[in-house]
Amino acid sequence: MSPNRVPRGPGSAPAVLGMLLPLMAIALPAAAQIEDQLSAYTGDNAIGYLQPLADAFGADLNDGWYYSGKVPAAGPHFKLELRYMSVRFGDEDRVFNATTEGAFTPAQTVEAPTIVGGESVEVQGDNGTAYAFPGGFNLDAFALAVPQIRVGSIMGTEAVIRYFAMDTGDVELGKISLIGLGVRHSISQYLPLFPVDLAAGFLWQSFTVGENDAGDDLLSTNTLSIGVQASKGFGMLEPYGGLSFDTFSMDVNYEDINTGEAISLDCGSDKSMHLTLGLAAKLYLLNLHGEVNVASQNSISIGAAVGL
Amino acid sequence: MNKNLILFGVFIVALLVSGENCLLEEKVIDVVIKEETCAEFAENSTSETFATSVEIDYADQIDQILSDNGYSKSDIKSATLESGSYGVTSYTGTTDWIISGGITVRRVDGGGSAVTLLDYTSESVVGLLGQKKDAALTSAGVALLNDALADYLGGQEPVIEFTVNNGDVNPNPSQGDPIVFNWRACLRINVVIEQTVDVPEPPL
Repeated sequence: MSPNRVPRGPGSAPAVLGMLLPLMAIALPAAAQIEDQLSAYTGDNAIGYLQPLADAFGADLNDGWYYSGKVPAAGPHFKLELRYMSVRFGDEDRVFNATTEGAFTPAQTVEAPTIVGGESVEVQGDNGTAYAFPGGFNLDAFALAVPQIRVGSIMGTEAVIRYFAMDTGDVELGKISLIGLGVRHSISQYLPLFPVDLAAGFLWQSFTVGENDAGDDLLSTNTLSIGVQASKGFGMLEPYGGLSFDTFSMDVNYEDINTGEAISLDCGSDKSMHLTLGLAAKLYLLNLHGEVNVASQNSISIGAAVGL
Repeated sequence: MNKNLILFGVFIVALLVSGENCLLEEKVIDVVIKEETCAEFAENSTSETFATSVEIDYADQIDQILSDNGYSKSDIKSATLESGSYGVTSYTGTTDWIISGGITVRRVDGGGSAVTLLDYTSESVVGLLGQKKDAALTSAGVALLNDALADYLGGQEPVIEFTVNNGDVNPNPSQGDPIVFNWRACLRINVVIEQTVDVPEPPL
């Protein structure tokens, strides 16, 4: 289902999804620009250049898939949700140790800008030669806004579905696709005297961005978060928290400008514990919530959910 | 239900409005293009000493590099020589010629004398076939080429003459067994482009 193909009407769910498209599309600089910068690099340099973005992807994607420890035991239960997740970059994210490549002599390792860093850096070599490292996009933060649907409950189990797909054209981000599938199961139903609501579950996601000259995804990421969540209601307010084990992997595909060969980089798999602390406010069918997340890359998230 | 939908919509609109106003910021980024420009030499000699010259329109070459990458001359922040290489592109003979000599460069536009760009010593034509051998560039040659790049940025159209001055071949070529091969010398150039792009800056 492509959100920009469904009919829209005022106040309808498709209209809301349609409104999300621009927000999602400005999450990154244009894919073509990223590929231009990457094409000056191979191997470890390319991975170091992209690392802050990879970390931010992982942090954002593994956020925001719950705002309560309560999963109804049974009965129809449907919510349309929007989550906004943001990572702010620190000074340590702006540079990495890059090494000159190719025939340039002498080989040198210097602090060069990452994709979120600033101006290009040039080093002097033998007999007047010079080596230029690409600049970054000077980003202060990286954010994603994703629509999701929560549906249940059967035997204290609900599903969370994230989906987004669009093609912004060659001059923008290119193709963007996000699919996420999660399941949460109520633990509280087995512990009737337990003082807080408890649930456990997982969320798997696949997120791809851009298209290189060979037609492959420029960035391709996979995440998995497995954890437990707890919350307790106090009238309209419901503090919640969670602890999860997150994994994140990213592949990058681009073209070497000299040889024209396709370069595929495996940026490796990152594993980290992830602590979430948040507060939800319930206003009848509406739920507004915000949280802080402590993981390998800290982040914040806010969201809204409407439904039964 | 309608009230909740309105509130939900307000939340989304607030995000979108903040996105429209704050998320996209115009910034100037440094894009680095690294590309090669090559001088191709066709050798056919019955003597161990031979000289072959090729003229390269440096301005045209850089314009082509920019065009291939979707940029123009006005976008350039700086351009410098990074490294050089050479290699044999075609050879069908059976003799394993060992050659020694040098390659010089000279500005054709505005005159000027030739300076040595690189020397090659006891190189096997067979061994160089299909290879790109890193070259040790001389400071005089690099300076001439960097000056040409600077002049290009200053509005001139530099033309460079690359000349192979071969001094020794082993075994000696002859009328019956001439040395015939094609090779090239390549220069890798850094071109730093300033590009204005819309970059996202999330409000939170």
